[in-house]
Amino acid sequence: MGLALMLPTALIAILIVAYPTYVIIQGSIHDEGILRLSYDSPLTLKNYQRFFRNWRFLQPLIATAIYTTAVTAFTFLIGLGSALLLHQRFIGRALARSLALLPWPIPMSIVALMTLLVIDPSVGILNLTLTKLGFFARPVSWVTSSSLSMIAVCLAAIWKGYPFFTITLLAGLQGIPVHLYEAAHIDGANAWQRLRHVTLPCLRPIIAVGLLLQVLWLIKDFTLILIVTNGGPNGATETLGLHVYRSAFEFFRMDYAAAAGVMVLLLAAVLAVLALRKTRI
Amino acid sequence: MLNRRLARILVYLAVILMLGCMLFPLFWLVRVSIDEDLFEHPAALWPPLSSIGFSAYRTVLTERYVGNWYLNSIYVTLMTLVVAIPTSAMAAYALSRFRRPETVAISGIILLARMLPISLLTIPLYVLFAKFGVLNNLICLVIANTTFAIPFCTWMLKGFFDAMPVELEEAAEIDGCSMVGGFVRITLPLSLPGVAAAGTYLAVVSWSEYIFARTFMTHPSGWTVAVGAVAFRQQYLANWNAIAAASIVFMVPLLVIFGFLQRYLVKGLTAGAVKG
Repeated sequence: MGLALMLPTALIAILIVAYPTYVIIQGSIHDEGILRLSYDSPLTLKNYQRFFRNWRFLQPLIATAIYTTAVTAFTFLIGLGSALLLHQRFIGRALARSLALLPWPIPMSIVALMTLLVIDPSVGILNLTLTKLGFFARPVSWVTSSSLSMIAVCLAAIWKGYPFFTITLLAGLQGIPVHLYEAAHIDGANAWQRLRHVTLPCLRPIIAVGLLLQVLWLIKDFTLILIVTNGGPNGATETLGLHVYRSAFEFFRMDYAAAAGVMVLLLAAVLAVLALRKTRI
Repeated sequence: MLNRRLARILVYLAVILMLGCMLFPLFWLVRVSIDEDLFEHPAALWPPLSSIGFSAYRTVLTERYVGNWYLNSIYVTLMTLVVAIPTSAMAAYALSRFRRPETVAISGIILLARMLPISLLTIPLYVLFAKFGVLNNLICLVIANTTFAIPFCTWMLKGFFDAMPVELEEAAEIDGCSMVGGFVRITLPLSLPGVAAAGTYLAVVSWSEYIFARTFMTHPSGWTVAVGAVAFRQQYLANWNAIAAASIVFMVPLLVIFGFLQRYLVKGLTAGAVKG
């Protein structure tokens, strides 16, 4: 009975996940440029060598590390702050909660367009405001500066990503028993101590899962960067996921892209295992 | 007392400040979309009345293929729901109720699927779709979407089934319900909020999906709105007026769905996340 119910999902999983994964691993160990369903040529590790030779993987890895760390840290902090705030009792709380989650359902490609709109050199409000405040002498082209283009994609990803933490942490906050706070209050704990010694420890499992999911998501998704900078300038914002995609569909090195993709999957899996070990969830 | 009132005022200030910062980009998008002379006053908080107009929306709605993009998005989203929800509901139920080595192995595959990078899946799917000649056919977007839809929904719905007492089904069985009958009459109705949550999540993600649609659909008539919006920018380069209007037109259905079903979605996402 159980198996019968699992059958459709199992079939689909094998057809659209397991088989493609097999195709890609096959492709990564043959030096043919394109992917086939069967090969006559001998096995080779050339594609993996290409990934590591001349530290080619280093720049995408660094870009991924910067992007993932910055976005995860800020989405978490903003998500935690907004969750704590929206957990307070005040008039209009339900509406405030809905509004705070609004960036979440907006399609990533439209978030990318909004990013390009606010950083545009001639009409971008962010660009104009920063110029008026004296950060720039005149409005600058963000996408041609390596640091500014990284900042732009990070800001956009943070804006789009924080509601995820707001939702999960808010639910976590609602699950903390009130008597813990009452006990802390009787012991004379102030607001900061209650946050530090009651709220955060109770939220720990949720925070751990949330951070892990966020990191894995940021490693694999590249829609935003593809549209805003396409990895530029000079690869400054080319994360690993985008590196794989561009190798396959811009430079048509499917075999190399397959090998690089397998390495990204390994990286994600290792991070996931380490995180799960450490937090024992 | 005074302290408490001060704290309350601070909470209101903080909420307003936060919402102001977070909603400003959306406000700005609306503001740009109705400003016909953006270049003359790009930094004005609100355009002068004489510049306000809706010609950009007309530009968007009369654009060739916009109707196609809309219909394509609706088709792909609905089809993804139709394929993914029943299959993942069945799998989730099995995972939740039957603990056998086979089910555990399959749940492992499902978890692996959640970690596969999109870029890694795009490549072999492209090769396979090209091989079977279905590139440029919307069906390949539906198939590709199920790669993330089924794992996520199975995971989410399993949380719902786990939270539902088995005793209810046992009671139904004692009253003469068959196992399937118990599932259809008792379990499924009770898990409708979970199905609604999974459905909302899927609708949002399928509507927003960009990479697959951009890679597998080479002709503009086959694009979805997510791809169309970006193409719009490439075509209208500095016409931010039209680009902003297009962005709004393309995301409105999603915001409406989200507005109505958000309650369920919040519950569903948290059921999965809280349980890990």
